[in-house]
Amino acid sequence: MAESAATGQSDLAVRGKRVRGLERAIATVAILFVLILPWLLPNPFYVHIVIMMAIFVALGGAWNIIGGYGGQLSLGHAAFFGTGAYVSTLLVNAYNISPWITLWIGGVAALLLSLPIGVICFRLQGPYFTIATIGLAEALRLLVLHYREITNGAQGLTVPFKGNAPLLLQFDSKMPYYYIAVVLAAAVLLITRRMERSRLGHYLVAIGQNQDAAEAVGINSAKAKGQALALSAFLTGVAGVYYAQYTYVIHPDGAFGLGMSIQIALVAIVGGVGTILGPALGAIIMELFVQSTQILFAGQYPGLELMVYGGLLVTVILWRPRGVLPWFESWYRRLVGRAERVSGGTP
Amino acid sequence: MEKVRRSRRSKIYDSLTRREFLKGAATLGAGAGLSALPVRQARAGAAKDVSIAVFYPTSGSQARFGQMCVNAIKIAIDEVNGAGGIKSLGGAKLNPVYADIQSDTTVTRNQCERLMAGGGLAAATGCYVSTFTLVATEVAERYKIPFVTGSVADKLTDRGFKYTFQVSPKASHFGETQMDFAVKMAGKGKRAAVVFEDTDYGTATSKGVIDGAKRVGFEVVLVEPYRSQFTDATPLVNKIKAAQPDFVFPVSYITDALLIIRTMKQMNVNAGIFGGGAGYIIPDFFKDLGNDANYVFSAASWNNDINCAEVPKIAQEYEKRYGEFINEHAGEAYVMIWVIADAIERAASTDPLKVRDAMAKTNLTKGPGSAMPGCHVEFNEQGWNKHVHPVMVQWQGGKLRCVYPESDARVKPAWPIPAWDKR
Amino acid sequence: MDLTIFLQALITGILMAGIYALVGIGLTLIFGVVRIVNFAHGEFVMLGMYVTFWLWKLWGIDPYVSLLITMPVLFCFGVLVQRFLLQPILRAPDLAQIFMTVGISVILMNATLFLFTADFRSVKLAYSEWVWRVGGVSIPLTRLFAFLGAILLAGLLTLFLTKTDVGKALRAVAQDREVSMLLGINPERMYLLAVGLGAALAGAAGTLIVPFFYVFPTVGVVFGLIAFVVVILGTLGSIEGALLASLIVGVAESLGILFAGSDLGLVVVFAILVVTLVFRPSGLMGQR
Repeated sequence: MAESAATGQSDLAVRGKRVRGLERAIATVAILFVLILPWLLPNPFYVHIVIMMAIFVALGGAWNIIGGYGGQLSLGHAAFFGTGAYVSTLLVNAYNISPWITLWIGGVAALLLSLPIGVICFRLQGPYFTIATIGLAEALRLLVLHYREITNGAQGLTVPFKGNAPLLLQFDSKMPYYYIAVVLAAAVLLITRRMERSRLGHYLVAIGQNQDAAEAVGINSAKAKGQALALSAFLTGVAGVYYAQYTYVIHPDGAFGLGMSIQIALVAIVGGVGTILGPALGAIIMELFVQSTQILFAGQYPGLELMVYGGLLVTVILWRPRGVLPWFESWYRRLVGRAERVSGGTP
Repeated sequence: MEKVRRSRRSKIYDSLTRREFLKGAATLGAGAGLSALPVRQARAGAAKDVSIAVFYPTSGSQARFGQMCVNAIKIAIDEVNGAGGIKSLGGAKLNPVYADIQSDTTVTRNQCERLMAGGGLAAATGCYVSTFTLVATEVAERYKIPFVTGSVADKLTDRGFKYTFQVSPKASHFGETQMDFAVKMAGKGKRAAVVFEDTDYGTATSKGVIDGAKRVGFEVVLVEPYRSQFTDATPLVNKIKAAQPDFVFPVSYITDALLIIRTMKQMNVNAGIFGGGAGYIIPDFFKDLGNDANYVFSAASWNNDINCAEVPKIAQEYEKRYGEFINEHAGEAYVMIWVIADAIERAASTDPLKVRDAMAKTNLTKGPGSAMPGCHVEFNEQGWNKHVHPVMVQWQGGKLRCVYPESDARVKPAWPIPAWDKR
Repeated sequence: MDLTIFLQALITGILMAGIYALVGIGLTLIFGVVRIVNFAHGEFVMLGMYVTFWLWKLWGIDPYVSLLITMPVLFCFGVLVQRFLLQPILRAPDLAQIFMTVGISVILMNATLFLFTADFRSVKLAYSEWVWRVGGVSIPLTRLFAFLGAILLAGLLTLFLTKTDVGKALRAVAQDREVSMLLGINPERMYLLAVGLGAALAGAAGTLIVPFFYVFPTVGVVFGLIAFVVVILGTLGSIEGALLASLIVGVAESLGILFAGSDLGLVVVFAILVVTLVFRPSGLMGQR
């Protein structure tokens, strides 16, 4: 390998540095962009859209921990979402506790819920697990509907209107909502990355490859899956609380419904399971899709939007069963490779 | 698959890089894409239009009801514009902007944000289902756009909101009216069974029914919520039969209402039926049940024959255009358009803040804008129409007639109710 | 509590169990042979209902007669779905398979919504209102016919699976794919057959209930969910298990409504699911 006369470093190292420099520049631009995005948008409706995107990045990312990395396809995550939202809103209404605090309580409530669910469901493989999660979430929804003295049943709950009250997580303007949502999303992705590289992450990969072999090596698969589920549930619950605060009204069908569970899972699946960025990409695609079909069709043709939605799903599965991200990544890699060549290194 | 990186520091940053890059790139694309989307904003349209947003579910589970409301609104818009529009604004026409909320709260939120965020709206109306109206009014309150609704949830005007106006009776009142009427017809001490769909509407009204029953001295022998949109009424009617009630007070939407009546006939359960509105008073009820529909009572927030001057004309026009009679919420929707038009007229402005102030001073005793039970629309400080009250209606000879209170009714109730096998 | 009230609930539960059985058998067949969990199964029932409705509405064909049409139609539909949508992803990860059928379910529900609107449809027959009253219990004849029809079809299917060569081949593939290939059976043909049959049975269930159910785009969802419980309780792949399980589920739901509350019937069903999964995940029929 040739050596640069000036610095004594190998060609490879020099090229590596250039690529990293390029990536760093792109990263800085991207971060700046995300930070100033809401100011670039023409009106609050668009800010609403990106807030929803960010919330779903968080939700999809949380699901991804158990669904993608853990390989346990849950279609009952609305149970955690709804638990967070309801516990928080009930406490806010009953005791005037600040949502900044109930944010964590909601997450913990969801985490506690995940413990028995994990115990019941993790003995099951594959589709059994999925069906069990559907059944449990549905049962929870029906119970929430039933105990209307506590939960107000089908009428739902509202977050008391306080105008602009930052200490109570309420703002007049959408901007603070946006930044908090971005922080939430970023936190989930960072936690995912941390988990990926931790022991738990490696255990999950091993279990995913071959559970029996993993156990033979001494990995406690029930414990690992339980931890992943607990983490996933906690984050989902927190996102649920935030969602309730932002949308002001929650009710059992929306918060605990199968539709929400599917949406959460879809974000990660369309984007790419088991990857850090998959949910980010998935949330953006899904939200764009949902918004544009709602605008374009705006009720002219009932069912058309969801038909297209289902069609999209079927198409993605047929064409890219592993989600869109891997395709995106290889495109990115080619792009960086091309930049590399342009900047003077040999490929 | 991540490539193996050499140093730990660059490991972190590279990961950060990719994450941020992809997120940023995609968001960039999103932002660009979004600005290109053909957002159908509520613009002021032609030179002198006044835009009003209309949010109803015209698809999804509530589509039937939402569509009826939109039908009635179209008539009202035509009439307002045909009569010269908003004269204080030089004959400006009402420009309705319709949004289907797809019987879903998230869609309701999206649609409200879309239409309200851009400015250009003078007022808004909707959403039939109280839960959706709750969402819509939360958004309207923050964007300061007056929102007029016929939804019945008590909470709508209980939140201290300034921009929510409710023309209809409150959910808790329906039970009172039903019980007052029942005890008037049948006397005290009767056995009452209360069954209701476990949705928003059922839950909200049922409490009023139970409290009302106790207040008039009825014995409540059964309180049974049931799964919404169930497909088999046999278990429920079985329980009703076991409780041996004199009267049944069901709150249902369409199919469950039909199933309950059919099953009660099949199982020969002869109790007087006092429905809670919704499914019991739409054209489909008679179309499906035929003569079995007769004698069924129901509470209603409005009816096509209440004793206000404009109502027969409204009913006739709707029947002419759409071939079926106008249902309670459609009637309210019609009235609301006139209420909005009146407020804009008095405000002499399309500025929603001014329209809101004018709306708060609404005091209509004649004209189509007053055609609610009581024939007087006036909002109290919370935004509720303080003169309105529910009415009782009854199916007679295939037609839905108002029978109580006497001031609103044009006919008498058919009483007593014959047993199933004696009809 | 009155004995007749209890009996009424019991009988209602048994009658409904017949329908659950038919739907569950179709689902378990598909899983047993093709090893795909069909989340769109409830929508096959819904399709059967719509086909039956339109046959009656447009040409006055009696629902029970239209079985002869709906079953083949749904059979072909199932075959097409298997051939073009499921076959390509047989080797894809579990989640792809699950989401494929979820996607199909969403498409079907919304296609019917789009084409036929959300209006509730019903069929009016001369015998719609006939009720057999025995000892204080009312049995609508349409429900009785549905039950008998379901039993008949289940019986025919069992005969097919045990007495015909094709049926035996199907069972062979369900038991052991590799060995059956060695024996010269073409698994892909068997998959087509399995999905076709499963869809046909689901469609038949739909047809049988049209005389007393309303038809609307989301009517299949509940059937899909209950079918899952039936199939898991009865052991995935076992027909006899599905029959037994549907009886348990049907009666439990009905009694649950009577004793726990009319809005908790499904909770009882899900409770059964949970109990099964905790204590006997392989189902009633044992090791699988």
